Amino acid sequence: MATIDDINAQKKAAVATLDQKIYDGIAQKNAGGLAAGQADQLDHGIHELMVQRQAVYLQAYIGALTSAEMTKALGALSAATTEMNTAAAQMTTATSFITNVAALGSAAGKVATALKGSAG
Amino acid sequence: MGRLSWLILACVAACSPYSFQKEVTAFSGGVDQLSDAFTSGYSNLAVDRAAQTQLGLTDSRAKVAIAASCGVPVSDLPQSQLPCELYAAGGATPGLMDVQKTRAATRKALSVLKDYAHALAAVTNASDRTAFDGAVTQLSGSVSNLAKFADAAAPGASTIAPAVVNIAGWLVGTALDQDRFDSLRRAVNAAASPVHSVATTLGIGLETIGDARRMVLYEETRDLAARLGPSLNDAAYKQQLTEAEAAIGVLDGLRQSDPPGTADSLGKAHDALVAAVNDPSRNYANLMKAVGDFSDKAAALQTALSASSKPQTASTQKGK
Repeated sequence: MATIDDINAQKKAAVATLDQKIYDGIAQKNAGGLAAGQADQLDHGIHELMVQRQAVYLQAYIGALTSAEMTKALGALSAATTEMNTAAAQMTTATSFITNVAALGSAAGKVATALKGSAG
Repeated sequence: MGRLSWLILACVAACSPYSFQKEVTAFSGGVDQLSDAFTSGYSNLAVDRAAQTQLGLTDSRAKVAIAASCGVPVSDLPQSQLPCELYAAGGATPGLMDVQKTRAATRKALSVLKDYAHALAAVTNASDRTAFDGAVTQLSGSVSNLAKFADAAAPGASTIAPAVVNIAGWLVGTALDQDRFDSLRRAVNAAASPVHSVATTLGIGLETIGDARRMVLYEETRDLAARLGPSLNDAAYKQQLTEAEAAIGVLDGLRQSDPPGTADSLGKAHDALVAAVNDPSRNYANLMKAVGDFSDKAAALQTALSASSKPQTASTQKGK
């Protein structure tokens, strides 16, 4: 089964060939001296080459995006994300708990002060 | 004893997740820009196609129809996903280019990568520790006030109790820091290879969108350039030349953009993070450089894909 790197390498080679043909086609058109209708034919040929190049890119992208390697990679990233979010949340949970206890202590202190005042 | 204390302090400092906050934040920002580049790329591909359609309609002076999809909201109905556009009456109904159909799958993959980058930022967020320390100080203060009532029965309680709270707070805080650092280290090591697979794939995706835009823009510019000639008056010639130049400017920006290089720099920045987390004393400089490179490339790519060729105004058509 092709890896994502294999897919990328094949795409790169195919695109390089098509890029050269597209460049040559446009350069030929720009050089002028074409018989009637030839410029349109060249435009059509260039368009077809561009369509082929887009198809190569698209095939590579869909191939990589739907590959088992990509599925596995996304799964690994999700697992790592869950672990880090859990660790990050522990501190914020602890902070929230301590803040609540401190608020409770503060309220208890006020009650104790008030009770001490009424007893005096 | 003194030497041991220094060793413990050195370990605590070296193993702090917060020493990576700045670089991780920059890394996460770069991933967000990569995601924005996709969003802009897909959106502007639609804009480019609309501009091309407008040019074709204007040249042919065609009667115009409204796509049926404009009559329904985007929903699960497959036809509702088609572009809502004007098109030549009697011609082919506007459809999506194949690359535009990859949007949902791309969004899903990007979401996983963004969540990962945001989790890196969460676990290295020093303000959480500041808030924790603030809460411990607050608790220590309220314990001190309460303990004053116990001083009569147990002299010194109001001094000892807050000190105990502070020590306990420090121990818990340090343990939580260590948990964060350990999870950071485990996560980046586990993600080391997967990040490369995801980065390469998304790089190909950005190339695909960029190529689709370049194809549409090339043909639009070619048609605009074909109108230029001695039959136009000066004002019309200048106006249409300006439009062609604007379109070619966007096209050139896309030519110069570097999706594979950006994807590669994402992988390298993550590799540098792995190395730095595994050995903070030796690899920090590499991390700063790699993350800086990635951020710059992601920003440049996003800028290129954000540029659009707006449909032209009617007054500029055909030299009118």
